[in-house]
Order: sequence, then C-alpha cells, then structure tokens
Amino acid sequence: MSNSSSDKPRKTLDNYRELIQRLLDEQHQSRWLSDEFLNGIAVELKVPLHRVESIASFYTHFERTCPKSHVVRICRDLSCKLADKGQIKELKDTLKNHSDIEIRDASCLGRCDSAPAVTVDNVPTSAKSNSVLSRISGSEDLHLGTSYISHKNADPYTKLKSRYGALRKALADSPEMLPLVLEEAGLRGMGGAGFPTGKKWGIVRSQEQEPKYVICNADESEPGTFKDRQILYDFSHLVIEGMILAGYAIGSNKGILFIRHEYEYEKQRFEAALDQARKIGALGRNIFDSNFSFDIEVFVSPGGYILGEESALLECLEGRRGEPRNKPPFPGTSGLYGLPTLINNVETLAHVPGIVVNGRDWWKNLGRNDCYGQKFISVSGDVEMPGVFLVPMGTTLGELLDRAGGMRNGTELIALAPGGASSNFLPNTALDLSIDFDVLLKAGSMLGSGAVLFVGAGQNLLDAAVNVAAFFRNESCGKCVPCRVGTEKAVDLLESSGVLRESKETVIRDLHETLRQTSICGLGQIALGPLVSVLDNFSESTDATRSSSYAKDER
Amino acid sequence: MKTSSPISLSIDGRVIKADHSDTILTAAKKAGIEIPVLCHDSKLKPVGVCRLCVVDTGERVLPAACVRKCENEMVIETKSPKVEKHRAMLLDLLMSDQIDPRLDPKESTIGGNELFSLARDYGASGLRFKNPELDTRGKDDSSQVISVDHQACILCDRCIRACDDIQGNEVMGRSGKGYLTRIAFDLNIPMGESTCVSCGECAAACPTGALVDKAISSPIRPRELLTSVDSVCPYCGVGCALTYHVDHSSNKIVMAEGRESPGNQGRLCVKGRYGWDYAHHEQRLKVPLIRKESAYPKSGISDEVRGGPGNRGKPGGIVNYDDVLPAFREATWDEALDLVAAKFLEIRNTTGPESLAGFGSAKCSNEEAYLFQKFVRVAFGTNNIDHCTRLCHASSVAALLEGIGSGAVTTTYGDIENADVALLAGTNTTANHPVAASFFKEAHKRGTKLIVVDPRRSSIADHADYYCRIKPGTDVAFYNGLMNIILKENLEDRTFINERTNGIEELEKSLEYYSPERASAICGIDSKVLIEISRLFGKADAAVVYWGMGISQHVYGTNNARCLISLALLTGNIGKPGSGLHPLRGQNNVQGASDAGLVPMVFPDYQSVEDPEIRGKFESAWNCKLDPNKGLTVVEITKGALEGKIQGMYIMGENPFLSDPNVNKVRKALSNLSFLAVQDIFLTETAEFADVILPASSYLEKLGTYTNTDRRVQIGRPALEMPGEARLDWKIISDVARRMGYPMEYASPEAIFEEFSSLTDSYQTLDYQTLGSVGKLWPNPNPAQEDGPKVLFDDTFPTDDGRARFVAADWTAAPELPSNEFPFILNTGRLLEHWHTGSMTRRSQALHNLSPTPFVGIHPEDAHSLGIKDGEKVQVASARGSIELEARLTKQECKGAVFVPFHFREAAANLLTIDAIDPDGKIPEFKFCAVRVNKVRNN
Repeated sequence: MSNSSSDKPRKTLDNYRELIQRLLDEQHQSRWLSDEFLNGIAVELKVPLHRVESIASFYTHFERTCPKSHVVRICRDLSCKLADKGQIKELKDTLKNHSDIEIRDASCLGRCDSAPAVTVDNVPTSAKSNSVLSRISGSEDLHLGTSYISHKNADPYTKLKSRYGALRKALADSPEMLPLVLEEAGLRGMGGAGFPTGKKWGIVRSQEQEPKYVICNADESEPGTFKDRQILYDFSHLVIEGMILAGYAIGSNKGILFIRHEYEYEKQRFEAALDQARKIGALGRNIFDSNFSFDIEVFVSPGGYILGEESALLECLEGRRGEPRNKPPFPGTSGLYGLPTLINNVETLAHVPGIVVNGRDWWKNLGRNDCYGQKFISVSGDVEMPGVFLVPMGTTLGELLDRAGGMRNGTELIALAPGGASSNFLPNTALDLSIDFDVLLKAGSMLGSGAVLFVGAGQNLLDAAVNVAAFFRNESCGKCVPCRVGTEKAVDLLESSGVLRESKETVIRDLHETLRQTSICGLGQIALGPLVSVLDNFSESTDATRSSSYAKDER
Repeated sequence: MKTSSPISLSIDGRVIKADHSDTILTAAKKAGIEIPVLCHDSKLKPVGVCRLCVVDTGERVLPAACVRKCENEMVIETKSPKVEKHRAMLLDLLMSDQIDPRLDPKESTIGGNELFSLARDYGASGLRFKNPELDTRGKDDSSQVISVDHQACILCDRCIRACDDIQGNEVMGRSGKGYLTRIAFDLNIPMGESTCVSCGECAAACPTGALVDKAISSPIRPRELLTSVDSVCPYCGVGCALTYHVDHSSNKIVMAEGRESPGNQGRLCVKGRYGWDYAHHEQRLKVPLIRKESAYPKSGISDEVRGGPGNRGKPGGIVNYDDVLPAFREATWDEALDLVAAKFLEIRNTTGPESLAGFGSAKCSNEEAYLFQKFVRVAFGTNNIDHCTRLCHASSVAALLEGIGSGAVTTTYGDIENADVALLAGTNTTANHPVAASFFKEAHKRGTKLIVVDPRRSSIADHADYYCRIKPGTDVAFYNGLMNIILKENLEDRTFINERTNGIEELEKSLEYYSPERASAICGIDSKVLIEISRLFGKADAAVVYWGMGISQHVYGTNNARCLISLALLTGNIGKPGSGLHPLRGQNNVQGASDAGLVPMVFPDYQSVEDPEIRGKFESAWNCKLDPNKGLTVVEITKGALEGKIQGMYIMGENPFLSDPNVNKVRKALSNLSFLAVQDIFLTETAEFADVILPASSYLEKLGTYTNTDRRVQIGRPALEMPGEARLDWKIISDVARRMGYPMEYASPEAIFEEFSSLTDSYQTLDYQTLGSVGKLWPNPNPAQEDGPKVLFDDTFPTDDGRARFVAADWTAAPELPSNEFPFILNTGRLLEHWHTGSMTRRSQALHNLSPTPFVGIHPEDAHSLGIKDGEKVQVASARGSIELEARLTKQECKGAVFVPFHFREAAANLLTIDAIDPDGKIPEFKFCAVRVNKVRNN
C-alpha cells in the first residue's frame, strides 16, 4: 500500500471551536485532561500546542491531573462565608480522613440560597458531612434551592398550548417592531449593566454583515447571584421564546445558550424544553410555517466568572482564553467571529414574551414608585428565607427583606449589597431605597444583576470586603496589568498583616481608582469597589472593620 | 462605517489630522507626541494589556491609545495629572514583582529594560507592594540560547505575538489564569524541551529581563560599550539584514540583532542570530601551512577523512587538530604564495591550462567571486571554474535560462503577500530558509492558500492548505498531471499563452499522457486531490511557485524545474504581483557568485564564453586571451582529477570532500591531484589533501557585496579583526596572480565591484553608495530613487523574441531504485541549525549544542519492522559506502525512505550518495539513491 497521501486543508476557526468542545467532552468523559490527550488533540486538529495549553490551563473546569475518585467543592465566596458557622471546618475535618475524596475551595457555585454551598462530584449537596458522605455512596437526594417565584406574574402563559403566543404574534408582524416595543416598554438588560434592550436589538438589527448570532448569557457566576439558574429551571420556554424573538428581530438564525457547567440540572431542563419547542414547530426550520428559521445550540461553559463578561464569553466560544476584548467595537457590531452578535442575559430574554403578549404598558405598569417592570432578585446572606423573588421594580429593599422572612434569628442588619458581590456595600439605612437601576446608582451602589446580600450583626465587614476582593482576584483573567496585579496586591496588603492602617487605606483607594480607570473590563473596574465602600460607608464602625481575620484560601 | 475622509481631533491641545484607521497612539506618534507603552511595538498587532498608554478622552474610563481608534473631534489628553498618576501606579504594580534591577538579566547585559526605564521616569519603585513571598515564579535555563526569568515577565504578550505572528513558529502562549498566569512553551514545558526553534524573536521583542539572549562567546555588555556593525547574515540566500554588536576589547561579536530591510524586515533565524562565534573559534587558521614531505603520498589525515574502518564508533564532532596539524608545517606568506604560484605555472606549462581548475565559493562576496573567476580564466587560462551552485540550483537555472531567458527569480519571497495561492515544491523552507518561511506562514494566516509538495513532511506542511506527500522522485508526473487537468478544465490563460509564449502545442501533446489517474498512479496522490489543487492553482488571480533542492537535486532536476515553469506560464502567472518563479537560493551569495561568473560556461552576467564578441569584450577588459570553450563543472572536475586530466586545483572556501556526492570517489580524486591549494578559515576535510593551505578571512572580517535570493545586492561589513596572519581573500588572489605574472591590483573591494559591474547590464547602475544600508534589487534602472523591481518580466522575457518557451518533460525513474539488497530510498539535506559541511556551524557553540550529532530519520513503522528503536545506533549503507549513526524515528519521513543530513563528517551522507548527474544542469542526484539500514550490534 502506498504511503503517499495528501492532507485535508487546515481550517483554523473551526478547529479552535472544535478544540474547546473536545476538551469539554474529554473532561466530561475522563474527568481530566492528560498531556497525552492534549498532545494528540493538537496533532489531530492541527492546532499549536500552546493554544491547547492556553485553554486547558485557563478554565477552571479542566483538570490537568487525575483527581481522586470524588471531588468535594466548597464555595469560598461571600454568601457562603457569611453562612458558615463552623460547619465547613467540621466538614473538611471529616473528609480529610477519606483518601478517596479531594476537597477543593471553589468560586461561587451559584447556590447562595443553600449556603454554604457544597457539591460532590458536581452534584449540589448540603454542607453537612453525613449528607456529603451519603451523596458519595449515592443515596442523598438533590439539594436544590426553594423557589419563591409566583408563576402568575412571571409567565404570560397559563397553558402549554398557548406557549409561544408572543412568537406567533411577532411572526405575523414585521421584525422591526420588536426593538421598538421593547424600547417603548423600557426593558433594560438584567445582567448588570441595564442597557436598554430595545436599543441593543435595534443596533444589531441595523448591521449589514451576516450571519448574526443571538447569545443567551447564562453564565451568572457572581457571589449572591442565582436568579438565572432558577429562571432556566422554572421558565426555560420563556428564555427560548425570548431568544427566538431576538433572532427574528435582528435577522439571525442561530442562537447559543452559554451556560455555566455547574448548572447541569438547569441545562437538562432547558434541553428538554428545546425538544418540546422543536416538536411544536416553534424552533427549527420554518417556524410555525413562516419563512423564519432559528435554532439554538447549548454550549457548556468551561468555567470562570469572567465569561459572564460578554466579550470574554465570545473569546471562549471562539476557542480561546476567556479574556475580555478591548472595546469598542462592541459585540453588537463585531461579536462572534467578528460578526454582529446580540448578547442578552437569561432574565432579559425571559421578560420579552410577556411584553410582546401583554404590551409595553403592561410592563411599565408592573413597576411601582415611578419605576418600570419587574425584576427577579436573588436574596442571600443572613436572612430567614434566601432564594429568588420576583418583585415589581420600585419595591423597597426593606419590603424585599420582609419577603425573605426578615433577618435570620432577628439579628440586626448592619449592611447590604444590593447588586451582588460587585456592588458597593450600603448601610442599613438603605432599606428605604427602591429596587431600581437609577436609585441605587445614585445611592452609591448599583442594582447590578439584582442580587441582594444582607449582612447581619456579628459579621466582620472588612472580612466580607476582603473576601469580595479575593473573589475578583481569583477570577481575574490576568489579561491586563491593573486587574491582574492590582487585585493580587490589594488582597496581599490586607492578608499580610490583617490590620488596615491609614497608609494602607490610601494605597487601596489609589489602587481602586487606577483599576477603575484603566482596567479593560468591568471585573477590574469594580474589583476593589466593595472594599472601598466599606471604608467609606462604615468608617465610624468599631475596630471590627479595622482589622481582618481573613485567611488565605486555596486558589 | 469607515469613511475615507480624514478626521480631525485634538491631542494635548493640538489639532491633528488622522484617519479612521489610526489608533490614538499612531496619530499621536505622527504628530510627534510620545505616549509610553510596554505591550506594543509597531510590528505587532496591538493588544492593549499593559494599559500604560491610557489616555483621557473624557469618557467614563481611560482607553488604551494603542487599541483605541481615532474618532472625529475627539479631545484627548495624554499627559494630564490624572493619566500620569495612573501610569505611575501601574508601573509601581509591575515593579513590585521585579527583582533588584542590578540583577535583572537585561539590565546586567545588553541593557535597555523598557520597564525600568519608564519606572525611573515615573519614580516607581514598587516597594509599597513588594512581598518577597510572591517572588516565586522561577527561571527556565533549559534553552541553549535564551534565559527565561518569569519573575521579570510582565505578560505584555510581545514574545507571544513575535513567535506566533512574526515568525509563525507558534510555540509560546499564556498558561494559567489571573496573577498566576505565565508565558509558557507548548504544554508548559521547559523552553529547551519544547518545539522552540531558537529563532530568538521572542527575546528580541521582550521589553524586560524575562527573555534575554544568553552570552555565547563572551559576556554581553551594555549596548553603549559595544560597537554596532550593520551587515548581512552569512548563511542562507534569504540574506537577512542584521547588526552585529562587537566588543572591541576582546575582538568578539557578543550579540546580533535583526535589522529593518525590505527583505527580512528585522527577522532572523537561529543561525543568523546565534551562529557567528565560529569566527572566534580556536581552530581558525592563522598562518600559511605547507604539507610536510612525510605526509606524502597524499591522502586524508584524520580517521574520518582517510576512510576505511578506522572511524567506526568514534565520538564524532569537528576535526581534532592534533591529528591533522602534524602533517603540515608553518610557512611565511611569501614562501607559501611563491610555492602556489610556481606549482600552478608549472602545471599550466606542462599539462596545459585545461589541467587546472578552481572551485570558488558561494559563501564569498561578489567581489571575491568575480576576482577568482577572473583569476582562473586569466592566470590559469581555462574556464574550469565552478562552485557549489552546481550542487544546488544548477538545474533550476538551466531550465529558467532555457524557458524564460533568465536564471534569477522573477519575484521576491516577500511577494507571497500578494499571492492567492503559493506552491511550495520540494522545499524544507522552515529549516533552510527560515525567515522566508516566516513570510510564507504569515501569508497563509492572511489567506494565501499554501500547497506544499514534498515526500518529506517538513514543518511548513503544518501551515499548508494542501500537503501532498508524493512518492520520491515523481515530481514530473505530479505537475504534468496538474497541467493536464488545467488544460482539460480550460483553466489555462490563453491570452498569456498566445501573446507571450512559444511551444504550447508540444507541451499539450506531451501532457496528454498524464491523465489524473495515470499521474496519480505514479505520484501516489489521489486524482481527486490533483483536480482540487489544479482548480485552486488554475483559478487563482495570482499564484506563485517557490522551490528548493527537492526539485533541483535530481538527475531529472531540470525536467522538474521545466514543469514548474510550464505550470506558471500555462496559467499566466509570471510578471504580476503575487505570481512568478522563485528557486529559493541556498547560499548567501549563490546568486551573486553566479552573477559574477563563477561558473564554467559564462562570464559575469551570464555572457557566454563561446560567443566571440562577448569574449572579445572581456579579453580587452582583462587584457589577455581567453579560453573559447566551456569549462568543466564541479562533478566533472572531480572526475577529471580522478582520471588525471585535472592536475592542479585552487579551492577557495569550498569543502567538496563533504559536499560532493560519492565521497570515496572524491577522496581518490583529491589524493590524485599533483597540486592542491586550499584557501579557507579552517583546516577542512578538503584541506587535508592540500599541498598548501592559505589562512583566509571569515565573512565577519571583510567588506563586500552579497546578492540574495531576491536579487538584492547588499553590503556586508567587517565586524572583527582577522586572527594571526590571516589575509583578506581578494588580496590572496591578487598575491597569487601577481606571482603568476598576471597582476590584478585593486585599491579596495569597491574598486573590484566597479570593474565587475561595468562589465554587466544587471549591476551596471549599482555602486556602494547607492546600495546603502539595505541594498538594492537588480536590475535597477534608478537605484538612487528606487529599491528595484520585485516582479520581473511584466511585458517581455529576455529571450531572442521576447517570448517564453514551454519545454515539455517526461517522467523518468531515478537512476538507482531500491532493491532487495538496498530497500530504502536515501534523501539528504540540511538541518535548521547547521550549514552545509558544518565548518562554520559546528564551530558555533549554540548551534552545535542544539544539534550535536548526526542521525538518520526513519519512519517509525519502518524502524519497527527492522527492530530499531529511537536513538539506537544503526548502519546505513549504499553500494558506495556506509556510515554509522543514531536512528531518529519520525513521521516526517515517508515509509520506505530515510533522511540523512550531510553536515556531519563522522557520518558523511555523501559517502552513500550517487554521483550520477543531470544532463542539462550537471547537478548530482543528492535526493535519491538506494540504501540499506541495519541495527549495529554492540561489539
């Protein structure tokens, strides 16, 4: 037999996309990525080894050494730290004696309502050591949070039959109506930035380049934030319908759900809903016999908070390190593979069908105190009933606390962060403030993704603030100098002595200002904000905020 | 979105015009406003990661000037207190992880640490953030040429982009995340164990002490204490412009850097950047040597050169002078020169001028080549003058002269950027023309389709759109197959064919036989792929062909080249940007040496020695009678020596013992000469047969011009003093000529160049002054104003009727096919780190360390069937000789074929090769002979 041959052409873009998918598959199958596998995949896909390394070493989901039979991940971030009354040490002490169990400190697992969050082999489990051990023996039930969402308000449909009514309605009308309706309704992005949704759709719609993409960002990973998880679980169809409507509006046939790998159950629910949607003709070729075709692919994120940053998410989808891009250009004009791309948060998309069905005034009137619409809020921290709540915009934080059953055991509220770990801490006087983008911004914090963290008396606020800074350090992608080095040095300054002296305080403030002004993306820009907010808003507190017992965590 | 109208913006209060495509950094730079930056360099794509170039545009945050595009009416502050404060903080952060500047690998050697310089300007010490516990990033000293200090790394990514985007070597990346991110090689392994090819582009790009060149011959001192000499690389035909940094106190080069030029654009490879210390080697010849009476009758002296069983199992490496020097005695220049002149005169007078011959060298300058051929023609009175072009592209040149009337390239290697399709035929470009390869790889990234055709899968194939592993020696069938398809599918360029060529009918007739199926059966490439490639090439608006020794070094080398020429003509791919024919020239001055007439059939500028009118011109210029007959070529001269027809030889800078085919024959030939003078910088294998050895100047010690593969004529300048009594080569030639009664006196190399250029059309307009720092392309009607034409023959060819000529070629099998006794095909060639017979590179420390030993490359399956393991000692034998060397298992080789590099005297590949030659180009068959491979049993 002749050994003469010719090779197939090398297609770079596809190969990198395939590369990351293959690494995900291998991680799923073998639980780790051996050098042998990585060398082989480089040859097979004709990609340089350093590209394989850069990806395999960047994403937290990828293991480079063979882990022990069981991996227990323990969240080290804010909500879980606040909830840890000694049970984590007890759990670690117990597990230490099991040679087949590996214990890992992990970044936020997105289960702050079950804090302290623990997973056993990626399955959420209660932090009690007997629960963990019985999960390892395979007997414990899933440990998922409780939903406090009223379906009546969240879902415009009461019957399965009537589902996708908004889509049917939209298909009968011209696509340019959709951005207008959303803009008039005043829907804003629910992922954190609050950018007017209709305007965003309009920008992508006006782009001439094709193809275009719709991406649903389901990579919420910020401590305190887990509402998208609940929405994906409870309202998959609304998210799917929102994506299809977006595709119709901007002229795209391709949607991608970018979901964090920790949301396996939510992913399964979503995929089941996709199948249903395809079956009834709401998804796929010629939707409801129209000329419009659209389909959705599910991409499981290989891990890392930074991927929630939309351009980092795109880099990941293109098979590179999830490092945010310099902007402009923004994804709307130059997104996936440089093509126009609409990226919306899960919640934003889930709200769209309701607005299309019920009209812009319905949405406007949902709000209170001059605010528009409604909002899913993740509530965590020292409250009786942590979970996801759907509230009208304009609801006060105090009312929200009441809905969450008040402070746990009646402890006194000392501080709250209204928009997740990246939002500035406010004093307890903030309970009177409305849940609203502009109100909270004016108050010196932000609504962010709508994750309210309540901190009760007895907690060390400086510890909490350093914990947040350490989270951003851990999750910094390392691309730009201010964030990569600045977050490390800030945490190091506080960790190394534990006492915050005047001189250090000045340095931290200066550092924060530099990170805020010069970092490429939002992560670096706000990384030290919460820390500085504690210095600003709680300067009269006792020594408790002047010294930190914060201890180094495993990274 | 983009508009072509210029925009206007304000930078630091000045109104500036810019384009939409300008970044703020470039717009500011044009206006003379410098913005500090560490992660950017004008040659690299901006990444905006160091953030030092942030500027205030009045927005919420400060954008990085290196990535932010200009917008109309922007108001920008580049030096406001706010901006400067943040820069100082960023520098403070970076400095906090640096070690003591006095110990910094860059500051303590060449200097110029850009971070430290900026930190000094901004008063940033990093002390307030310093935590020694974090200084744990470590070093990597595993590379032969570069020290890696991760602690000094600021992750600016310049090295990564240099490796990826400039050199296309794709070795470096980022590993890890956040503060723990590091630069890494391959799968984060030590640099020295990675696929790094040691080009040094990363170290050249590094702004800090993270990647720093290691000292090679003597310590690297601060730049200001060194003298910089602008010169050209002495190795391959790419002819990279570079700067040597010379320590005059020790008369040593300590470092080389790439230099901006239209050709290499500042890039270098491992040889150019790290392979110059051979000139300081202790084995440099410093005095003339005369063979002792006791060393007659002549033969090789060292075991490896003497032949026979004595060299088995020896450790190898360069010659031991203790073995060879005792055969010679030191002499004065006068004694040596008198002897040389007397002996040559004696031979000329007794057996006639035709019993003398000279080998010049493509390593020497145009001036030396010109003078040496003049010497042989005038003082010897014969045209028996040749050099290694005969072993390299003689067949390509023969085919080109016949087809298009010119033997030089029709376009440059850099012109690939304009090509839609590039065919790389029989060229291991990444090893043999690494910097040209970098442009090929770059073009591929930008969308040029690459078709690589080679039985050996060299690393350029990693970048190919199509890699075709044809069966060895089946090129003609492969290309005829393509042309058959192109004609069948009407993809030929009829206008071009009708207006600019002759002989299409003959070609068409000949191609009929090569149906896709038949071509496929011969060359082993699926006919479907042949059709795909034909369409790709045939439909391209501009397609270019680059080829190497895989085409030329065959007994059918001229036929191979004819096919490539026909393919280009058939598709109209000559004379427009991104198209043309380019045989990649091997030696730094093989183009120039041929231009200067260092070949037996033509005077300078390819003027025939047989044409009485031309001869008359040279006779009057040189003031003597000249031989009217073509002289002998390299292999013919060796044959002549063997037969006693050649009695005396003058060899300047060549080492035929190792470079010519069938060493056993060469040995006999050299022993057989009644007189041999060798002029060289080392006592080479060839010099072991010399009667007199004349110590010459190395490339690094002399002034002269060199013509690269692109036809670029560049000036090489002396960087070092010559050792001992060594003399400049041109002066030695003059000295011998004078003593033979043919005075050739010149004031300088420049004066020789003037005489040479005045006798040519191509060089006529050139002189040292216009050549300047980056040289000029020939032909060049207006060198004072223009770089010269990249693309030649846009409307006519330099043939009698201005038309090119198709020459049909039929596939024939190699002269020695594998048999039961010798079942493998032997291919020979070069390695990235070595040069030809190794006399320079094996005496360059870094290159030697990178590649110290000979080996035979063999496909793992073949090795397995022979029971051979990687690294095991094997014997490779042909009908002519045998060598022992280590086996290296690699899928680079195709099954049934093995590869042996010819640099290694202890396992000389040319002991095995066959001395059959191409009938037209007279080039030997270096790429195909039959061998057997055996395991060597210990004891």
